[in-house]
Amino acid sequence: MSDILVVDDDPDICALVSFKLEQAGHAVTVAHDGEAGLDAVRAQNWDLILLDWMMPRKTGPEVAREIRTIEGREDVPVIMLTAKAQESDIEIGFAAGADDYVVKPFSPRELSTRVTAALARRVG
Amino acid sequence: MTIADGFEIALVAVIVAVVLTVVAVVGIKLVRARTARRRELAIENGRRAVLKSFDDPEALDGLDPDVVEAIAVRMLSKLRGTDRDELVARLSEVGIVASARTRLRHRRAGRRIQAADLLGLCAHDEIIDELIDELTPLLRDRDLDVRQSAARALGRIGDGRAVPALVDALTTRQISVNTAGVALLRIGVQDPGPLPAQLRAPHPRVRATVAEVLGRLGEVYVRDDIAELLHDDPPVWRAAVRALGQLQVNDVVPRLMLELEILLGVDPDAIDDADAAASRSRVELDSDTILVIEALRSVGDPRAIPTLDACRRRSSRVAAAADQAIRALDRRGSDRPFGDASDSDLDAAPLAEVIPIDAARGAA
Repeated sequence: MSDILVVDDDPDICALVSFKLEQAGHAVTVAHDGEAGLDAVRAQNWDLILLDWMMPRKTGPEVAREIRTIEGREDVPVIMLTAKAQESDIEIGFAAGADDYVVKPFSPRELSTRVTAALARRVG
Repeated sequence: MTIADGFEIALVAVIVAVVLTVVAVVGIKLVRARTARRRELAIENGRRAVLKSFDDPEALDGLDPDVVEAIAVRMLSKLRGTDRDELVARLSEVGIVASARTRLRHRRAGRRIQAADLLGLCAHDEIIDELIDELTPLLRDRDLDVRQSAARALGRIGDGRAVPALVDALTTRQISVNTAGVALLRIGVQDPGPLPAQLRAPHPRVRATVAEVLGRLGEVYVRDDIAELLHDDPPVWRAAVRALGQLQVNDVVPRLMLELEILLGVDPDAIDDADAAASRSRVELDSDTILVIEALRSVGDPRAIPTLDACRRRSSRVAAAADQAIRALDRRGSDRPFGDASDSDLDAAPLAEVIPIDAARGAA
């Protein structure tokens, strides 16, 4: 069972993603804004982080960049889950340290597949 | 009764009135807070039930249909793929879709709006024809928000048969340019066929909107038709310039360079801003020049550099835009633009924050 942190201010997305990932056997914790997300990252080692872009207090790319500077968290897989889908947005997301990028509207099954793949790469 | 007694009575009356008012205000706030909490709890329970319905079809039984609808609209707009299709199937099974179709004729505008929003998200092949027939009359509803929601729904359904009705609503100002543009954009992602003919629509608002939509869709095969709009009224001209920039095909560069040379040939000092008949004010001259500069930057062909260089003699705004464009074209030669944060400025247009094309392609 993997510990996954979901950082998103949209309660529907949080509920949906948590539901699907818990169905797949993961333990999911939710943070509703960027600062709360960073607090959670500092407090615990996560197997994977799902990160929204447009959030109060800190945006997704800001959070991703900071995660990479936290000792012991540099390699945690980060998947951005966001409605920002322009080429330039995707480039910014990856440049900030994201390992994968999923655009909203999203397929929960596809997201689950990407999470599984990212976790498998980590173990490998 | 003395004057003092009168004052005392009046004072008591005022105090009583103030106290009653405070009690009423506090009471109303408490009732509203309690109603909001109940609503939040209902939504939370409803959300859990909707999620559970992915595995358990009976999870929605007995729930308030209004709550289920509200949650369904929110969730469906964020989903695509198999899970989305399954949720739509559940909503159909429990009668939510059928109920929404009857409420398109509800006497309350809010109900008609909610119904249209839901149907736009729940459309499937078997009912699309009927939905288009049922939603199209709402484009002439007496309530603007209903008309807008009907347009949104038709856009989400994504069938080109709705184009004539949307164009008519846009022409007659029944719906806003942005709403029409978003709807046409969504339709165009799935069914762009009916759109190019609208580049020759009688109304300039339609020609401009459709040009922008086709530019955003990347429909390069209509670039010549869009280029023809460079002879059109200024709002249509601007839409055509933006669209040509969005299409990013090198063979439009000479045409854009010509437009830039025409603008550079205008002497700003000779413009009389008080002349209402003038085709452009000085501010518009600068803005239009920058528009073409940005379109050339978007296309990314270094052939434009000499003409862009000539723009440096203009105002500081124009010169700055030209400098940025030249630097970008120098960097990439004939390659596609490398995204940076400032490229998002090129998306600022009447269609502004529309929907990402990739997301539109993924959603119904």
